[in-house]
Amino acid sequence: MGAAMAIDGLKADAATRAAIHGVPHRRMEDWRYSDLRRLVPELPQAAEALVADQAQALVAQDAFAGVAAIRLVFANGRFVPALSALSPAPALQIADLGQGLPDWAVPHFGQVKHPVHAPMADMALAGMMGGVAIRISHNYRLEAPLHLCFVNAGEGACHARVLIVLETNAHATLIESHSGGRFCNMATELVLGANATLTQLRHAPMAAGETSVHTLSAAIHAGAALNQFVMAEGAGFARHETGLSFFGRSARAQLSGVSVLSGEGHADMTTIADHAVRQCTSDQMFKAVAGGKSRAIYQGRVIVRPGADGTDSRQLAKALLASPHAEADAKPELEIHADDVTCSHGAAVGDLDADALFYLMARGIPVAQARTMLTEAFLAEVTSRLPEGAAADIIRARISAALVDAGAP
Amino acid sequence: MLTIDDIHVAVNGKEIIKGLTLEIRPGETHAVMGPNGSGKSTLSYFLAGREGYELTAGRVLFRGEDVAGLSPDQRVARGMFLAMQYPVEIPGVATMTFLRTALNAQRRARGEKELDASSFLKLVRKHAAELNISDDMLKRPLNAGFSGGEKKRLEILQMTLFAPLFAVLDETDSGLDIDALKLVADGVNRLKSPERSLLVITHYQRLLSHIVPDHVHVLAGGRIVKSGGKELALELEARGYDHIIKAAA
Repeated sequence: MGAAMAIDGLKADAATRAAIHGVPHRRMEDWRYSDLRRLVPELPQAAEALVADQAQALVAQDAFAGVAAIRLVFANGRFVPALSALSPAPALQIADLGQGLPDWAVPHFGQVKHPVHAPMADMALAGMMGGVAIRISHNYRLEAPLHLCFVNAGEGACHARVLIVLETNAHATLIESHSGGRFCNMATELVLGANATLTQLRHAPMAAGETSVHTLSAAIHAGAALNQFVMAEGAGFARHETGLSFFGRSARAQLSGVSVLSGEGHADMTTIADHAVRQCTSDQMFKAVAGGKSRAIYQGRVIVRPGADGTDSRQLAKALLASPHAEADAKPELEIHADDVTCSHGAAVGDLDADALFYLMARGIPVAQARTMLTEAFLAEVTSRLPEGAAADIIRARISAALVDAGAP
Repeated sequence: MLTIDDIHVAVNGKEIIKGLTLEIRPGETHAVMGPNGSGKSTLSYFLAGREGYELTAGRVLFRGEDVAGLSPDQRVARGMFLAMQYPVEIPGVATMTFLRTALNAQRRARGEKELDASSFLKLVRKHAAELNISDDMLKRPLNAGFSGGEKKRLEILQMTLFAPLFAVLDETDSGLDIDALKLVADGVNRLKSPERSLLVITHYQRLLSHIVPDHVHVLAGGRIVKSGGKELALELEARGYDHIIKAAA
């Protein structure tokens, strides 16, 4: 079948590209803060498939298990329809890429532009153990959120690919959750047709010894909007890379993130916003609370190409060091080749304000409670961007809980 | 109420207060006046228990208890309060949430029952109205973007809610126009009682026309160089600090 061959061809091409550089390392500019090669000199062998009972138990423990959703379960990288809760509708198509590539996905799968070389997305395709393609038709508003639930366990690598296409004026909410696994690499391609909107909530807790890499490549057409919120937590290693390409006027993306890290946690929020057309907006705000010996990273590049007048771009990255051994790096970058643009960027790393801490204590609030209040106040600017709803409430609760682990109170 | 017994206080290893003694009895209002750099703010922060204000000699007793080992919040729970010269802006903490958290933290520390949301709201609304503080102001982030007058009124609202036994008012008049000054002073005067003592720290006499002290002390070089009644404040206003300090030396 032609479609299956199409995937094989794409995988082979991706494997060739991935082989040129191997595992990304710190001498590659985009990976200077996240030396994946030091952590995993060689990509591990593909992880074994999980037995159904174990996968089912892990799904039941998922933070969003109680949220009513159209749920797509990936266990150790493999899409498991039997554990998923799919409600097929004419306006919603979900295709298991293990069965080949549906015709409608051919122009998109493996084709969505990433503004820079994305070696891990290539590896996710080359080593793809499972994948789905999701299409939401024109003018359709998907009421229930789509939940991509990735459960992993044991040694070995998990590679997965997802394609999501929202056609013109389609609207949806996407929840992504991740748990466990030695090495989890997933890449998502997103196409937002004209005036489509997607709210994306990703929760990626990483325990010590766990590594995950997430690459999102988004093509955003005229009038469409992506509203992304990523929460990273824990003592493991996570890289969240989002590449935005605007293809029509008045497209918008709001990227927000909270990292709450403990132990030797490492969270790298990397963004590339490529403004090649006029009047588009990218608005980024990332905040981190770093405890223990953890490291919080933000590197964001905004490219405004010639002619992309009317671009409005904002980048703000702030980190709070909750421990003397924690570290934060922020590198906002602007590359502007157009005249009529509004671009701002800011970054700050510091401790809680001593005057504010004293003020609260001088009003009777004990030091631990005062620190918690100030830390939550520090995050309030970004958490206020979370939408209403059960899934966002879970993220809010996870942030409060993770602050305790990070020793932030 | 408060016994300050020959204290020496250092900040970053530098001695700022150099042998200060003061006895404040229940119901008394004392004013400490002094030129810039005399140690007025150091005294107020030190009494509130701020980190970095190190007692190198002497002691402070609050109702007979040595406060040396008490953290700022523990002092507040026992009935001490400092109305600050520069109330800190804290974006991200709603004023109302802060007030309730603070009051309940104090009550908890004293083993009292915490106030529920509705009785707290009633209490705040009553006192806020007296100080011309709107609901809108209470909904805003704590002190963020408040005018000088709004900040000072909020300090006095807190003092009213917390009902301390002893309060230090540090330069409460700074940044206030005449109307705001009167509003704030009226708020303080409502709190005067035979059980409550005040220590008013100020550079200028004008506040003391509104909050009339029983005793006035002149602080210079980290020590009290002269004490007197309320007329001493007027003398300072008329003749200046230099004259009084030189005469006292």
